[in-house]
Amino acid sequence: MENVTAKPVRVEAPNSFGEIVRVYGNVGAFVRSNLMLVWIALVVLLWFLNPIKALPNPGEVVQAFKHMWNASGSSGLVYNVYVTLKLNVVGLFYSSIISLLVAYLSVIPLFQPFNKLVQWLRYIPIVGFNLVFLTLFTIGWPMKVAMLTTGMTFFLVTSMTGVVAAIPRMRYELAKVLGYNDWQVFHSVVMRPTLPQMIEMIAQNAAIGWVMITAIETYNRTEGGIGSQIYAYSSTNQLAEVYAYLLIIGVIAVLEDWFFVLLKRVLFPHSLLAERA
Amino acid sequence: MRIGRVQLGPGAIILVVLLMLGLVYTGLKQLGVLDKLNPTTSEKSSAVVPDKREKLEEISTASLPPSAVKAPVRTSDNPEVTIGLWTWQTESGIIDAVGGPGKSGDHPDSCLSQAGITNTRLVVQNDTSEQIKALAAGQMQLVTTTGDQAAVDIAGANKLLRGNKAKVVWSSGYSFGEDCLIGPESWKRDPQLSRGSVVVTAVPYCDWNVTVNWAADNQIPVNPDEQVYDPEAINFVNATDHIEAAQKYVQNAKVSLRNRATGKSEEHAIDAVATWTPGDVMAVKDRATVNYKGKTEKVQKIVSTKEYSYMMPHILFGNEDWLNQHRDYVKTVLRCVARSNERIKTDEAYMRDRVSALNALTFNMEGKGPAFWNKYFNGVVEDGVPLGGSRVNNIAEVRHLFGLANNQPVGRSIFGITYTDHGKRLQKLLPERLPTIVPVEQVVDLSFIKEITDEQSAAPVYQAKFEGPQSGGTVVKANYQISFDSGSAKLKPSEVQTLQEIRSLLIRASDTKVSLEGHTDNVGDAGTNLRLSQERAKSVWQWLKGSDPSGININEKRLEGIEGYGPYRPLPNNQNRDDKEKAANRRVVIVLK
Repeated sequence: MENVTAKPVRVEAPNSFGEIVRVYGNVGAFVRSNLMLVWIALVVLLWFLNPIKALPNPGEVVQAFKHMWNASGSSGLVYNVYVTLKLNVVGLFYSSIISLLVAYLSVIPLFQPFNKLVQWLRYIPIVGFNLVFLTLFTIGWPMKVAMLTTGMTFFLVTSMTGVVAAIPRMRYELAKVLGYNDWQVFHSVVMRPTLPQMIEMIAQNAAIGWVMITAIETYNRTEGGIGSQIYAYSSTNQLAEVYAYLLIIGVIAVLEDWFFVLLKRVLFPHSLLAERA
Repeated sequence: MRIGRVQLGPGAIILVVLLMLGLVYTGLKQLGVLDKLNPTTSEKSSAVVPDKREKLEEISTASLPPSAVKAPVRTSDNPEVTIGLWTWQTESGIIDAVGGPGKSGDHPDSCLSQAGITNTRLVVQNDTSEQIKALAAGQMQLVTTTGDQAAVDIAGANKLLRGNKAKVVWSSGYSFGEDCLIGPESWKRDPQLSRGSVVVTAVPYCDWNVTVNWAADNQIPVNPDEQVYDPEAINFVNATDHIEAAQKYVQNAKVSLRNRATGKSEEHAIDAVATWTPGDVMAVKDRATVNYKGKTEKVQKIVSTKEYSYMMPHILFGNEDWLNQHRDYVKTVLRCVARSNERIKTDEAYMRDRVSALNALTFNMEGKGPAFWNKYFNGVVEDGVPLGGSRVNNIAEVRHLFGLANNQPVGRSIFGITYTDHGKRLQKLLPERLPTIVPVEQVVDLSFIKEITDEQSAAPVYQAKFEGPQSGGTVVKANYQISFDSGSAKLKPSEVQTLQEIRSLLIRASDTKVSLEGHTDNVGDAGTNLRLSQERAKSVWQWLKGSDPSGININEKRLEGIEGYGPYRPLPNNQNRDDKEKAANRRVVIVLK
């Protein structure tokens, strides 16, 4: 807290827009370095003051968190978070590989219409394919993985193809001038320069996966998971438990974002340099 | 903007855009797309061709026979009200009283309109937890559930309303066959064959209750853990509602479950479904057979609310604060519904020609018109399988349900039994879903029904007729241990709790015939034991009969026989070796058919 007193605050009246920003932006080092905490505190305060009586208050959510933490077996919090996380990771893994393949294939004219078809499918809610999945897969882990992989692939293909399409034409021509064969062109023009961006696309779509997971786990509840728990608690209006799980999803999402930044940094340190420049 | 060689100014661009919009508009108009945007235009066609009436867009409320229900005295209390319904025909009286979709004021001849209530509308939402959220948010004022599901719904509502504020005020009817368990027909012969099966249904709702009821009454274990397979119990796969349950069954879906004994995941077929109309129609028509334990069997309705005819009353509840602010409104609505139900009960044509069309419009399910709803309201047998079946309550039946007819405490009334029995069962199976059950005395506000004393019914309370054969199989076969003093057939006060349990069973499953069997251990003279076992069974029956002073639910007509078997039919694998085994054999068996 010493930092706060160490910096004198200006007292003159501001006389221009730039100065207003600087004066009121001069909020002290502690606040500046913890702006996120300040905002979180504000949100929590708002939650405490919330006028909607039916919404669970923070105390109730903490209680719910505690009792779910202590619950044993299949209704326990740790178990259900693990089940969903596992699904998220496996779904993401499969869909990333499939999407990379479909996106990179889009450089070949024959596969371009197929690519477009896959992209259109993302407008259809994943439950629209329920009957197909019911026929092909077993309710439980197999169907969950299939539904999540399919659903995420529709989105991943769209954004990844965008990355491939954005490669400047000049680079292909340059490669040809240099006498590269097709594989070399693919490797040095298409794949290598775009991989860092692909990680970003995967990071963005991991979030879309979380949106689908609740629906998918509601449809396949035989294994539990956050989605099935949210549905079950919501169906008996035990909303404190529902909100506890929603908060957990939020925390996981933030951690997942961090993880992907880290991954990109480790795998492609150069791309980060390029971004900074 | 440049197009080819022509340079367009802003005015020209606007002109071109307008021209294009005009072309698109004319095109859509010509194709008739624009007319489709406004569906009310088709309602104006007054000619209703009877055989086309299954098409919802061909029905107009204006062309239906008018309401034949005499409206009660007008009220000046006319608040904005939304009533939450299910796709459920026990609510026919509510729908008829409002007059169909839209506001009651849109239907000037409806009972509510005639009584000065013009701002009431109906919304169909089969998920009561969503209705409860709307109740807490002030978007709905009266919401629907069932008596067996009420414990969990009321607990949830009280949570959102912050206090014991959810109060039950009314019941519009009973599920009478439509809520059911459908599975391999061998289960109908012997319920015990269902051990180790997998049933798809919406947990923990009313159809799940039908299955759990039947299993518990037959003393078959139920596995509440959806993630595990138990070969000795009935196992469940979840669905979000009755239609999804039927779909999963019809698709012959497989499910992966962890075996309790081995801990390994294995693939299981879904053997049965618990659902309600039109889920039962889907399940039976689209999946005629089931392969159960290696044998192909016909799909059959195993048990339903036809046998458990008092387990599933419709229940209407609201927020006590609001109810008390609008007492006159609530009473007027209840009068209208009671009168409408009285009419539906006594006039088949009224249901067929008017109410079933209003139901079709309100439920708004593609391809399901008045004929469909009328057929399954009454219940039919198709391909040897009974389908559908609902009943509506006149005022006498509402009083009977809540125990007002005989001044019974509400705890011993039909509602009290179904509320408490199913609540406790759910609490035992899924404790985290229902942490507390509000005592039944605190969840009813019977003052509204009590205050409309001048409302009377011409039709008597429904009573099972027992004409012809009943369901054609065993509904329940259950052992109850009742201890007697040696050599005596006199019931001891300590046994009252067990007797109450049997009473609850007989009342929940009112449309079944009853047989009682008395059994003893092998101590003493066999001849004496034979006589004693029959006398003991007789005194159990006498007690049961005496516990229903109205005689509507437990009466002599229902009794098929009382047998005494003495020591001759011990329990399986029981040779009276020790005191524990002997005690187990001193029992009364209740068989419901």
